[in-house]
Amino acid sequence: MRLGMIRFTLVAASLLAALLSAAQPIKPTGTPPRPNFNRLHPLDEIVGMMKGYASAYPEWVKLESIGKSIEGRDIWLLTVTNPRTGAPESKPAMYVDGNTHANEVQGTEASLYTLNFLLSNYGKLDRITELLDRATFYFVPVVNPDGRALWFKGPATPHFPRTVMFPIDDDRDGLFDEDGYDDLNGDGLITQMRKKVGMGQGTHRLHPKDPRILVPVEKDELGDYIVLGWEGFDNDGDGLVNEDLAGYVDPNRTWGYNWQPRYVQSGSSFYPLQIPETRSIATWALTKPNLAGAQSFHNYGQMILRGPGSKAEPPYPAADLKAYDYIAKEGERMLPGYRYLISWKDLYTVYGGTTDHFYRVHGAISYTNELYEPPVDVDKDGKVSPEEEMMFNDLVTLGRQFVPWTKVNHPQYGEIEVGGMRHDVGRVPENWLLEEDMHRNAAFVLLHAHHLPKISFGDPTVERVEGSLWKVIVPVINERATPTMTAVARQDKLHRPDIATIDGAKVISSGIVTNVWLDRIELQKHRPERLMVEGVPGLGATNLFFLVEGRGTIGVRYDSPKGGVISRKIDLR
Amino acid sequence: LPVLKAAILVVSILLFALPSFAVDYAPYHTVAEAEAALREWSAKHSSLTKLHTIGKSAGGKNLLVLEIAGNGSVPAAKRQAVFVGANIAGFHNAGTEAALDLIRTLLTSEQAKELLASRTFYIAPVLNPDAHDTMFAKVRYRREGNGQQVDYDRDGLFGEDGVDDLDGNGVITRMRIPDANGGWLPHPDEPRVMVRADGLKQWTGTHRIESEGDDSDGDGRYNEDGVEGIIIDQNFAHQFPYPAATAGPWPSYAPEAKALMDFLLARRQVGLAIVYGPANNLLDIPRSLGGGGDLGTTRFKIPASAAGMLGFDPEEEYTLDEVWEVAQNLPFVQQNNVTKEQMAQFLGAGAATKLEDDDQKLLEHLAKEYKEALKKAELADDRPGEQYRRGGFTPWLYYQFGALALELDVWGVPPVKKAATGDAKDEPLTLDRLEAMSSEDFLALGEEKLGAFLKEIKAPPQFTAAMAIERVKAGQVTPKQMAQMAKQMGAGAPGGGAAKPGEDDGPTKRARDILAWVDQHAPEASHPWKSVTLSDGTRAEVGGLDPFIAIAPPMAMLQPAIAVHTSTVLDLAKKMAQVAIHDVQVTDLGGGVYRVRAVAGNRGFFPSHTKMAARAQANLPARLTLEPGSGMKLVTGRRTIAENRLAGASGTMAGEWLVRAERGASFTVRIDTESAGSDQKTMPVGKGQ
Repeated sequence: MRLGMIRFTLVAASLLAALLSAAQPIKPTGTPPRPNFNRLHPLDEIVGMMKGYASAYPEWVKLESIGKSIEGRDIWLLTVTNPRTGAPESKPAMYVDGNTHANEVQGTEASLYTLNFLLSNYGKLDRITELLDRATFYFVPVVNPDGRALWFKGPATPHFPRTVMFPIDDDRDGLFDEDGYDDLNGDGLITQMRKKVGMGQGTHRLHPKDPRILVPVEKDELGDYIVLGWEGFDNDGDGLVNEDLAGYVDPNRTWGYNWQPRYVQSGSSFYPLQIPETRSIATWALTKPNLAGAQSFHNYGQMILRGPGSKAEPPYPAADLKAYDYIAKEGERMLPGYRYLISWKDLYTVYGGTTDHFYRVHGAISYTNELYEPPVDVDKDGKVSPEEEMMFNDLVTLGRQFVPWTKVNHPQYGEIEVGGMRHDVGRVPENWLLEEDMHRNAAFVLLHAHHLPKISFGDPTVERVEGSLWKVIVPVINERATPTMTAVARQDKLHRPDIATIDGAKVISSGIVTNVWLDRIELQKHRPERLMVEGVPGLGATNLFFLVEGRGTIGVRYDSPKGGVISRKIDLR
Repeated sequence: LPVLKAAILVVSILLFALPSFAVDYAPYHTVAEAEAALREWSAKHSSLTKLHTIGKSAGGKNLLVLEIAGNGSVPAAKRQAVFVGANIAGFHNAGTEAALDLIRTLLTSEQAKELLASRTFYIAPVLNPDAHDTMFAKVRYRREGNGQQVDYDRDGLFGEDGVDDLDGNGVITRMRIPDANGGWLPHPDEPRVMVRADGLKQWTGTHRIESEGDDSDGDGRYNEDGVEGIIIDQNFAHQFPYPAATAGPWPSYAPEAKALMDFLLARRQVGLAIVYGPANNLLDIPRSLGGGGDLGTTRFKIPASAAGMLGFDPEEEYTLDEVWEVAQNLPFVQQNNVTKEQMAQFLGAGAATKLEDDDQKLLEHLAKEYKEALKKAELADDRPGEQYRRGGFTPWLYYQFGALALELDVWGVPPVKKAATGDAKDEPLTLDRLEAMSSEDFLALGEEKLGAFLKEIKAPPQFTAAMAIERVKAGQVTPKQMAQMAKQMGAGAPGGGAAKPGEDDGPTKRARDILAWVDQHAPEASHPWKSVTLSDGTRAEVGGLDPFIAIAPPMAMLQPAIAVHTSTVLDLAKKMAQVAIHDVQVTDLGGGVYRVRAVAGNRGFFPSHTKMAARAQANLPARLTLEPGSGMKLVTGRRTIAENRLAGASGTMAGEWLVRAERGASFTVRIDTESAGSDQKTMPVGKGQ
């Protein structure tokens, strides 16, 4: 006993020493990217950064293209982990993506901020060191590269493009994407159109104090302005303006779980994962049984969203909500202004969304964060007025956001005015506001990753039944919030359970101890040498039971797709 | 020599007398044979055909679609098209034969020539090539899955426990294991049929039922994880059966399903789709697969924001029709061309789960014609038809692709015919019948038949047929008294149980019908129970019917059924929608202004597309367009008028335009649709009016 104790201490000490000596900051090869998270980056810069990380940290960062977008751009995936502590697939993994919607661009920066923070703080901050040693991160910073390219290049608005470049005949006239926005005044931007008309023929009038703003007429007034929507004309001569834009397939409605056809869920395309962007990711993800957490970055509104995406989906099992709620409620404290919400109930119904897919297909705890909310509600009445927007533009951004109205001749409307807010207003922060949102959200991802399952064996109880027949009970302890097998994975049989095996002795019987003190054991009726374990709960333990025939030292091995593989020796005495 | 001759005779008599081992499926096409036939046909009829390789199966086999179209005024890619796909199920090889026959007929028959001038056919005889050849395998069983790797039982091992041919007869049948806890027992009248234990019938379970095979991985379950992969016919998005391991992680995961959808989605002119598979939608019209989304009866809450505008109570619930009646008159709805379907989506209506009314009526009509055709060919029109399943290909074709889609099983075992009541002689004798019988009828039965019956009801041995006849003849006893006496003595159903054949439930009755048919027509497909010992020492019996016999008869019996189906498909193809410009009128309004009025409509029997397609907006509306020629300008109105759907035969639409034209200028009016063809008319203004 004493000798064993000493031996154990020695082993532990040397292991600890090994870990400590390994945990030096990572030395990059050449010059790693020096990112500036105070601005948004066009696609080519993002691709350059991803390649830069891969070449600066060749062992720690693996960059691969997992597919091509509709226009033929690569879907890049970065795999990040400490290569000396095991292969990526052998560790619990966290998936992070951004920029699924073309216009929700800062999700890319949030993903890369997380990656950059991990690489530059390994060996400096213990939590980061532990994370890269024991977990794997998979990043797809740009899910929709065609869309990102188009949003930066234009024509773009705050809300367009959202789509991938899959042509849809939105107006059902037999032509595809034939009537999009047009930059009428050639300023490189798509803003709004308004027209002055005869008094009494309009619906709006100029704001009495600020002629940049139109206000709807009161019930006792006549109007002399009409609002004509986004900049563009009737390209196809059908009497409608901007009615068949590029796209529209919404990539976040194309995922495989509870997908619905377009007449139920607009933007869903014609079958689940029809578009290569999401299909590449879904197909790749099937090869990663270690995926235990997923985070998708969108904008805007400051939310931490979880499924269900629709009322039709069954509610999440309570055992999983324990992990969901714990992580997200911590998140609410880390992210001032953010609220933890259920998609369908608190926001709107989403069929075929990312988070539902990763939860219901992979059994991974998954969130969508809606980044940013413009800090424009000066009077804090819960509403943002045009006056407040103008004040923010004039005084805080010193006029950067607003493009003054200019006169243009429109082929259908005649003389009109074009102007309004730029496309990077409203959904993405001003540069000087960006970095804090990136950091706090990265910290949330790191908290989620911190709570990926972390398992170890507790001290075994060994009892001789007779001769060389032994009863062995050994606990597997999970010291983090995510179970090694979520309740949904158990209930829907999404993947194989954890498997416990013994080597060095014959297993006569095996099972799970449901009550250690009262000796309650659920025996596995068949194949005792391959004990199927439905996981270790988050922040809890599962006790394995083996009746073995043997002598000396045996090995016990616990193989969990999402919790990793652990083993230890047990002395039969 | 005579000796040898005699020996041969003896041997052949012996061979004839011995039961043959299995059904002869050699005349059915293997994947390779079907592919060779397609290649041969496409080479021989190169002007009529185009062979598409639309993808590969998971196991790497070609997925082939043969396009057939004759010379006609409209290019093949724009004509109304018919898709016929067979054996996506994997075990429905009879469908493959029917698809091949259709190709043969289209390429060679006179009758098809005319049809091919105005239609395009896309025919895929083998949609699940990875499973298809299991019919011909050394060990035959019904395989549904493709070649993808799936861990059916989620134990981390792949394909470790499939079926095994324990009795070495080359077919996988059923296995029964004595087990008092098993819940099954041999049917008291027909021990080859296993039935569930039933307290009311005093049937106690004696066995457990499994498919034939060992528990190869020792997990206590039999044949739960064979080599097969995704069931393609469950891998489509209409009511996808999440979370079934067999169906795949998501719809379209199977490469075959994806390839098929990609091929069809690029061909919206396909308005009619026939699937040869295990279901029969004309013998049994598709029923709801469950779940909500029925627009007729579902009640919706109106979101508070919209409720005010519409004048509805946000606390109450309304049907779509009730909401639409009010909403359609709102300026917002009219200005934005909001459709009823979009309103349904706004209200949160789910996907449709049952046939739309118009489509149901059309199917019922087609079912009538189909049954008549079967009857005419002396085939059973009253046998049960299976329903398609969740995630199936046919429901996708209808509910999401929007085609008029029918799954047909081509052939099935006919039910055992009950003799007509007039012909009492052939009706099986029961105590009830005996009780109702006159003495004359009784005597007409004869000693032999009566003797068999007495034996069947386990009458005491001293009570002989001769004695009964004697007594009835002498007037000592009536048949009625005799029946009552027998009933009091507890005689009843053979086997001593309380059940009578008439009390069998549907599946049991069907099983017995099939057995009866097999006994008569394909006795080699029936395998008596045979004792086997499983590898863990368990004693079991293996037996039952060839897994294919109930869906794939010997070829000679299949052929008449195929013929009916080929002509049914040709007939359906003729019935497809065909739009035409009916009438164009030009009125001179003076000042060089003319009013053009055009009426177009559908001359086909089928609507321009299904009601479901309209609801799902799967097909574009019919579009009536005025194209002004040179020297002509539209004064007012949009060039194109759209009508969501044109009913069969009666569906029309009208357009009216004002044009300013120079004398002699001409214009064209055209109607365009996706799956109902197109038409156009060019006319001058002024002159000739």
